[in-house]
Amino acid sequence: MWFEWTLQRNCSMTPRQVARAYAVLCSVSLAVALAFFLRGVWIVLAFSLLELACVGLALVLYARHALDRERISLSTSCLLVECMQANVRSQARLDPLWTRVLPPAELPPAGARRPLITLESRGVRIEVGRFVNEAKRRQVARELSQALRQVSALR
Amino acid sequence: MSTTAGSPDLAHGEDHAHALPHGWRRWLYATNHKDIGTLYLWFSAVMLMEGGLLAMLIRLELFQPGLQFFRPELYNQFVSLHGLIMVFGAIMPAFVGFANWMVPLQIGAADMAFARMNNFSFWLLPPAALLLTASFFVPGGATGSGWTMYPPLSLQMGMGMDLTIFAIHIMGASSIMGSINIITTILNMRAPGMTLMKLPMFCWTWLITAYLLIAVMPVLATAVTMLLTDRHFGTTFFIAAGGGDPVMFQHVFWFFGHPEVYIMILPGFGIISEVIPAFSRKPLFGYASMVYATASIAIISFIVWAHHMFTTGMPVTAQLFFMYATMLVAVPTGVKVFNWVATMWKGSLTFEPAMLFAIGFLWVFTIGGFSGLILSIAPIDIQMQDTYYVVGHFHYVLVAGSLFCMFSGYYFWAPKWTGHMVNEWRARFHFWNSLIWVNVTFFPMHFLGLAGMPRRYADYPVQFTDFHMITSIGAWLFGLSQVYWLLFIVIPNIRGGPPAPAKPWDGAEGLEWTVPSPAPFHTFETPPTVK
Repeated sequence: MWFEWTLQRNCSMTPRQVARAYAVLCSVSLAVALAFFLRGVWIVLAFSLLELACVGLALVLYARHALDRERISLSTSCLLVECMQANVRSQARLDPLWTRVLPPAELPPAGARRPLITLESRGVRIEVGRFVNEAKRRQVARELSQALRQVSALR
Repeated sequence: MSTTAGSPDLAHGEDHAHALPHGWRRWLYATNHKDIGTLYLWFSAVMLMEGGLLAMLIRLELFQPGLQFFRPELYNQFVSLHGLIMVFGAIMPAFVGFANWMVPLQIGAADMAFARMNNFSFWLLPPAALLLTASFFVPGGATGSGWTMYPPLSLQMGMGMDLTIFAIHIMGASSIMGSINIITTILNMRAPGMTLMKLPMFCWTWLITAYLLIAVMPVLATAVTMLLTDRHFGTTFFIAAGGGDPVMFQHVFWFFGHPEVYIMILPGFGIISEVIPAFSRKPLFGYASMVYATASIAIISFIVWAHHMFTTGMPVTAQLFFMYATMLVAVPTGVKVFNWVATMWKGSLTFEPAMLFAIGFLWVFTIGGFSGLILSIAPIDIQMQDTYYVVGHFHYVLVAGSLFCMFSGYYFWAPKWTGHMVNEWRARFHFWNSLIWVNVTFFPMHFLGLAGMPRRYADYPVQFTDFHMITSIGAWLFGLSQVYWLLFIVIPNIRGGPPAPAKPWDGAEGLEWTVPSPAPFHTFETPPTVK
């Protein structure tokens, strides 16, 4: 028996595709700026570089998190939680028989962080669901609890 | 196994459970794309009224020959600020407002990519508008050098010119931030399944416009910075006595200025490409060719700038190049016009106000396009340079073009924005008045120009009186029609009216019609899947 949930951001372009789109933008803008530079109007180049740096920064900020995702895999022997955030991968293995799923709180206290799904197993607490909205988090928490019950019944 | 693509935090990083903001904080700290879109649209409506008031004053002075009301210097200030306010304060922000409202709804995104930057880019605009308006009240008054700010006149202006330069810098920064947001949102936040070639045409035209803006805004910033340093920091870029060249300003300015014309019309083309298929109950004819035509117009816009400068003196080969390059614009523009007509061909047409404005646009914009073609011919342009023929031409493109597109978009999407249907009789009244008076105002300008009436003059010889009177009467009635639109259509529509269904137009297609009307504060928290 094998269950898997992938919770990811919606990003319609990979960082490579975004880089290509940025390259097109740079080539147009820099061609204009270089033409002016060669005619002696160097200020256009200065403004272009400043502006393209801002665009680049904005795209990098976005693309850095484009591939963020969480994967929860459940087999009879292991509950594997993998998280990829800003190209940093982390992984945790939990014992499904000893794992408790705490769904996101209905009414978090004022000023509290966004309520995530908490997986608790032998003193280890892992929070998942940061890349989806609250309704999806509740749905995943429900499905995961059911799956854990099925797995424990099998063992 | 289940895969869930989500919008984790609303782009503003706030929890969905929070209470909706209200009061002035809702608007000052706005990060929701719909609120910011509303702010942009209100700002541009106010600027439209301010720029329109200046136009009314211009037409008041020109009603009869002789100087009746204003000194020529003040008249020139009215003309200059009318242009600057309409271009940078009314048309551009209005289309950004449309983009803020509709791009996330059309691509199935929860918000714009950078919501706080979105807030900042809007709130830069009111100070810039205040600077422009305040320039009337500083010593020497506002700039009287036209919206083009040509030196040496702009170098001789008072403090009002510095305020204008500062305002343009601020508005340019706002436009750049808006463009960054639109590019990132459209590229990255499309719903799963919405490939680029399934993108709604409005989004396509805005994506291309945003690219254009990013490419040319540094050139505008350069032009006004060089003016500033010439005025105050001892440079002589445009001062012939110091070795500079005033004509260079025209090259730099129009390298920005001509793409700017397309920046002001391409999003309008996008709106028309949404409206015509909806009321023809047919898919847009030649979608791919529309995309390529839009991109072609954007590319060609970089190689036509000197057609504004045929009379400054340039080699015949250069005149020929810019003449033919300008004529080339007619090809992709023609593709678009024919595709719109082909979309309507054998369609099941109905003539709701949005469609009326779209058809009205097709007619009057085509007149503006053809007069543009005539002006592209260097020998004719040399005769027509700086006459009312040119004024008539560009008002056909910008008023009958951009403004009609905006009205079409307003009547199309207002039910989605406010949740109320627009009073159709009033909307039709607005349309017919706008269509008639726009032609009464601007068509005689062609005759005035052909007869030799120069632009930017407060007075004129008696033989031009009749056409000027017709133009003035048309302009006042056109202006009144727009006040009617604001007071008797927009405001009542916000306050109430028959409730609008989620999809008020049966031929409309697109994700924006899948959410209720008015669109809830948060939409598409889970992106829809596009098939």
